Amino acid sequence: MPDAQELESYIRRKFAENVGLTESELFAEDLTLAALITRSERMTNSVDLMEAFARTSNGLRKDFGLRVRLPALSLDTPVSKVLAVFMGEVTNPERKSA
Amino acid sequence: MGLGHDLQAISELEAARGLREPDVFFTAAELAHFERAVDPLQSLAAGFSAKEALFKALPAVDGWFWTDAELVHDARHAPRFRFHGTLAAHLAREGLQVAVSLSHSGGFVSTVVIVTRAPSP
Repeated sequence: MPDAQELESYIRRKFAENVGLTESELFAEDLTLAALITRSERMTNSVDLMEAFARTSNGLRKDFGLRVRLPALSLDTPVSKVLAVFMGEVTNPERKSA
Repeated sequence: MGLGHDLQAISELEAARGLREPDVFFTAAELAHFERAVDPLQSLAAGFSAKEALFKALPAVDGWFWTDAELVHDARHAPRFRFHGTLAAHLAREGLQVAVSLSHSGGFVSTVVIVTRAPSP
């Protein structure tokens, strides 16, 4: 089982890949979800945003057997908060996939 | 009282494969219901739209997940939400009830959600 640092690194990388921005673009400025949609050429609406997070969640299940539910967050939420929720989910032993 | 409305283009859900994995955005039961529908993509879009409208209608509630609000249908196929987890606890504590109405036409789904105080027992 990977440690928390490896999982965080994986989630950061997958967020960036799935939204079509670099990790530094995403996290250095700690973009809000609204800013992220505006900045990304790949995304135009909340369907695209949820799909990007869902793909990250599905990657965690496929690669590590970990279940992550998507949080309901407003568009003024910074991406660091989404990362924190994902980390809370993957480090919660009850969320481990059967 | 809270009011939320959402208008969703059905075609926007076409490429959303990641959202079709269970217990991520939708529960397994919701996804099974969409698949059984006459038009599964339209049904999926309705489920997405219903949750967006609910989010707009609710007061700020911290720490809930999209799977906490499960869209179900009664014997007459009328939609309603079944709540779980943090969101269910919040609504019960605050004495709130939720009504949802869905409609689709011309490639779009429209949803209205109203949150009101539950009548005192």
